[in-house]
Amino acid sequence: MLTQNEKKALADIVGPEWVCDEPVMMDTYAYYMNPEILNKDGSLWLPRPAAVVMPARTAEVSAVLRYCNGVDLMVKPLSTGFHCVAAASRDRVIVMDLKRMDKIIEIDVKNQIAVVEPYVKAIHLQTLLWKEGLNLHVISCGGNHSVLASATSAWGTGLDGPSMSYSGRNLLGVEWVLPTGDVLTLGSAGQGTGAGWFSADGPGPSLRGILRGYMGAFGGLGVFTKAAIKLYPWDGPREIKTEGCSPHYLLAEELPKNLGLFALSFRSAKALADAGYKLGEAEITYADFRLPAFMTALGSTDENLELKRVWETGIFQKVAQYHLIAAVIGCSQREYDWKLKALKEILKETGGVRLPLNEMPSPRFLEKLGPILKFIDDPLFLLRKFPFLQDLLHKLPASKTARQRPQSELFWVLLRHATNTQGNFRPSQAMFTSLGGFDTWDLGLKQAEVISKKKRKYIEQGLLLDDGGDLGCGGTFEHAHMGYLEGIGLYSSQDPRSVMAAGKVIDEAVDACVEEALGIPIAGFGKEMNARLGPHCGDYHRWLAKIKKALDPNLASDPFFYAEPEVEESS
Amino acid sequence: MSKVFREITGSLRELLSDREVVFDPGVISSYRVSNPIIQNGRLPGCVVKPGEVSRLQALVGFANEKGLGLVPVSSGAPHGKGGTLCAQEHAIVDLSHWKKIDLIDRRNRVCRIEPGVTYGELLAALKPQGMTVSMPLAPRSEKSVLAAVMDREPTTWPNKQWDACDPVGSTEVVFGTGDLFRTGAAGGPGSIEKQRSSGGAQKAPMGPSQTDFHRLVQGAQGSIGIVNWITIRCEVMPTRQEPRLVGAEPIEELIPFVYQVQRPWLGEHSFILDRNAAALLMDQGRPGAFDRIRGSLPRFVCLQNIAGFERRPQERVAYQMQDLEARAANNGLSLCESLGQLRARDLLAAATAPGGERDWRRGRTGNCLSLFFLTTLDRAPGFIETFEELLRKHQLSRTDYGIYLQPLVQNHCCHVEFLFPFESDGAQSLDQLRGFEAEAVPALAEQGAFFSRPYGAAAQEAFTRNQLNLRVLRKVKKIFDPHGVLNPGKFGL
Repeated sequence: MLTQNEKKALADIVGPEWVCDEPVMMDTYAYYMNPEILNKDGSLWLPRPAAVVMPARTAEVSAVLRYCNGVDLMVKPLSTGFHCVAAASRDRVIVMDLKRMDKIIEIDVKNQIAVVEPYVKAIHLQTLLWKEGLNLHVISCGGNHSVLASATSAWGTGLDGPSMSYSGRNLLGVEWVLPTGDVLTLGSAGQGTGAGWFSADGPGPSLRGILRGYMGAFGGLGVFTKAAIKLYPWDGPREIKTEGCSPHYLLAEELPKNLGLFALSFRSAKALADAGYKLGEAEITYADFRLPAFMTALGSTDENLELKRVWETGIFQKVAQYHLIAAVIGCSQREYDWKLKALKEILKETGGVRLPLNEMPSPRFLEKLGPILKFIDDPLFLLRKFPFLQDLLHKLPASKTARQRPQSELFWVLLRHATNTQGNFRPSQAMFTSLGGFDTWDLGLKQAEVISKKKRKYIEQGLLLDDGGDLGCGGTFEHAHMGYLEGIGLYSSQDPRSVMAAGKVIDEAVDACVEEALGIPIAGFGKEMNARLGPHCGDYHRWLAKIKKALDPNLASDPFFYAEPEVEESS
Repeated sequence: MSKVFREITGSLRELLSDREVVFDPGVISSYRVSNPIIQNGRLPGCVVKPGEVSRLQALVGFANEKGLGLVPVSSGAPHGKGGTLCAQEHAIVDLSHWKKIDLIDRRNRVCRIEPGVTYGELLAALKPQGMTVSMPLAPRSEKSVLAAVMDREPTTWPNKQWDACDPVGSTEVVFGTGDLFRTGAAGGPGSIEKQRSSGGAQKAPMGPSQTDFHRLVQGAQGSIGIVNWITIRCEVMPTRQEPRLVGAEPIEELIPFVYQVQRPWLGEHSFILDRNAAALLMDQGRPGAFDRIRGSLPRFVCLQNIAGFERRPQERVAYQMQDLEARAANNGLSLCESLGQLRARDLLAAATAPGGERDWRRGRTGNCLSLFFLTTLDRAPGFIETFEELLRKHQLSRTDYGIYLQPLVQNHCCHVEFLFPFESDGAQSLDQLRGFEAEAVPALAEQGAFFSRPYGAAAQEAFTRNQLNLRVLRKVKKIFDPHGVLNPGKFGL
């Protein structure tokens, strides 16, 4: 809670209607994804903040931070939020909810740059950009994320990685309210001449070097109030029309001929890896995603009982174990035709199969097919052996209605980012993720294998949902120059033993990162993890502590998910 | 050289072997900045050539203890831009003899190199694996690859550059504190060997965790850390190339075409030169070549390479050619195999191979005043106009200067470079050129030129325009180089 003086001081900055410390409201800022794993006691609640303030402009953000420098309050900025990292870490933290800062400042169509405030959502910006033949990188939590938050502060992998990179690499400029309240604009936009938001690096050394890193500082180093984002070409439809209703929104119109969506099935992890590299090298894929078998089954069904029944047929385990969904777009029909030829060639080389998308098989049909395929090791053998059969299957007549659903599902997932992470909560109401070192596609697939083994014993004990073990999700980046997979698991947030099992897998995964040199895991940030991983990684936590101390001398930014100054003392 | 400095450098012999410390005046003078426009630098007191990274760390530790300034160098002479310029007493740390290329990974398209590896050496090593690298326009033969990429030098393959820091992958760096640190995926956990056995290739530049320190070291001209190896992103070598030239008189005719080509990543290498810059690059010491080439060209020439790689190269070239021709026609332009005395194939070859010992900008007259900055391509004509007005004002020739425009980061920004070649005993005095530079830099900056890699007069200008950025940089410098031993005084840090 705030004192009356504190509340008044904040109200003087943002206006009384934009400061709140009502307990009922504070609780809404204390509940996020995965709290039971973060909290040592398995509790579902994170600390209730002292107050929530909602500034409308940079000057107010700056003034709040300046005020916090003189009192014992800290600021935790929040844009769209989702994960526990968006929460306050203790009771003397003010959550700075940036919902009112929701403007698209500029879209420079020619130079492919958008300048946005914190609460601009990817799906909204994408809708506008498509009309201009442009697109932006959207992260895998789904299109409702804050564009600014992912570019400046938190992670950044997404399904469009092959053509649109990683969030942190798409930052072309930033307005940064430092923990002291000073407003720093990096790079070209910062020299006061209207040079434009085209570069965040320089002059000389780039302060992007301390801004976010691979993970992001999660609000531990001040507040970002504007970000310039690198945009990319979009040669798909300028707008889309839909029909149907939840859960089956369908594309009302056929996709243009220069855009193809594919479900590719491979016989082994090695074949999947080889194909990923080859597709990237030839610059074929616009978006790709290694969709594990269980998630393929999940996406094919509408409810959990149905999912259970189709999963038990064993078909997905055979057909979709090494499965890549992909979007291919050509800037001209000529380019698309070339890419399609190259894609088919690569599938031939790697034994991959383009699964027919003429019609989505119904759960009932799959249940009937299951017993027949039980004794067939590779149901796709003929298609692998004789690739021309794939073309024949694709050409089989199917009604528009039949084709609509598979095409629509792939479109939403790969290009509109509409049914991504959220979908994972359906089977057990809770998911965790682990590993997630970012380097090569091979390393990504290796991580999927490692986490699958780690999960198995808990699945056998009935503590984690039996998803087959391998929920390695991710894809390639920048035409397969880089790759990434993380290991997902599904647990029950209502069962303490299940929660504990999830925690153990995450913990064991961190050990595996160290022992098997798998890179910094997706959870490798913040005080505790940095102290654990730092000694294995050049003591980076020591440097973070020094940076924190230099930039935030009065501890005005919540340090919990970045670096606590005391880390430096203990080292 | 002061007595104190002599004593300090003298005691270096206790730390390093005789071969590692050089006091020979002849050797020392080869580190002089060979650019008569640049003043205020002083010769190093000695040159240190540490044998390995542990010796380098020991040297930095010694420098901290004794207050010895260190200026790292990786390229061979001549040093023309002024990155090694230091107004204080200092020792040069020369790593140009570190030549190892100990990883070439075709699958992940990456290699690992030490500071002394030149572009010629790297291209030769990559060729048998069917790979190449994105590189600056005709770098001089002794140019260190590591020095170029750590300085964010523009490269001629814009659609292969995703981020300003490319093509740098991971690095290993000795900070000014003497600490050894690996950035990017190499940062850990685990040894490089162990990472590779798990499938890693030290390709990703981000990390470890919440750090991105390679970006601090890049562009710092050796003032934050000394890099002892990097991994570099490689590209598949084209197996078939059909370069084309597009000529235009006013630059405005060319720019829409470049935007239309760059947005969908059509083609490969691409840049624009004016006729003077093109003639400078292609002159190559042949008598009369400069005038012959210059006289035969339109005012601006865009090189656009079209390539096929290992997969269906012929078909790729064919469709790209058609798509490019359509865009050229759409803008009233045409793709040509040659323009006047310039063949596209020759220009591509010159641009994508190491040049001579001297930088091509200086090849003809021995010296060149080079002003470069970042902007967006659509703003380039405005800067050309301003530059010409300034030339007029300073009574400098408006027909002899060159222009190099390089789209960068997938054409999200553009390197603009004005070249003013001159002879030491030419028509313009050095003072006249210095006066011109001193006025041109702020005038261009005022118009929005962003001196991201500031050299010469631009160094001061760039930093005074964003005082808070400078203040924060000073804090950061204090963390990584608390005693200011690395390139002391650089940028006023």
